[in-house]
Amino acid sequence: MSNPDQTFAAKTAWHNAQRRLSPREKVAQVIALQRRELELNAARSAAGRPARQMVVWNTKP
Amino acid sequence: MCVVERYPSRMFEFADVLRLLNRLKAEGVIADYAIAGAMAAAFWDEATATQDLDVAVTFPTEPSELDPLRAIFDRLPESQYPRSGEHIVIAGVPVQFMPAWSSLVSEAVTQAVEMPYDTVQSPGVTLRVLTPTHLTAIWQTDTGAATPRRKERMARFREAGLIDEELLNQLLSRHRP
Repeated sequence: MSNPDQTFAAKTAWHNAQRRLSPREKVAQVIALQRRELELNAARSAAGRPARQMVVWNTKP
Repeated sequence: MCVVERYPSRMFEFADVLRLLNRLKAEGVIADYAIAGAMAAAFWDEATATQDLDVAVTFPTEPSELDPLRAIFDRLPESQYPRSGEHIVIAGVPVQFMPAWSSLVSEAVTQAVEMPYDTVQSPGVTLRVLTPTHLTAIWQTDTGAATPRRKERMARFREAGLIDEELLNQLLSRHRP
């Protein structure tokens, strides 16, 4: 069984590492998340519950 | 999140958006600017999917109340910078310019933080971003701005120690309606 303290410490360390990424890396993540939103919205549409369509930025980070 | 992406070589670069924003300031089209909204939060905290890049701007002289963004529209003609709804598309990114809509936002733009975009691949390219403290003050004072998503962001800013609580109290006491 995992130690909860270690689990939360690892989670905190992960969040801290995310915060320290450069602006360029954050932009790369945003574009990747936009692409993921498209995939999710295709699933939502198939289920009859489409959300506002995300437009992926046509730019390189 | 590990991001490994391939991009066609003919695509635009996000750094070109920043270069243009800095050029608008250098040319005096705007007095200053700062990235706001979800992208500002992403630069301080963690990235989330967003539709556009919000940019708060101030002008060298008081702009027309009826057409406050005219100087920007004139400098960025539609033939080169397509319009998409309320956005001007710059280097593939829909940018929403927002004239500073309150004295708090004007102050926030003035006190925005300038940071390098990427010292290795784009040396010299900088961006100006509203601070977490000013974002929090704006979200707490603008009517209807404290949405559930923004409340979560404010909590994360606070948890990460990104908010100057003394400054936030000053801002709220001076700007809360």
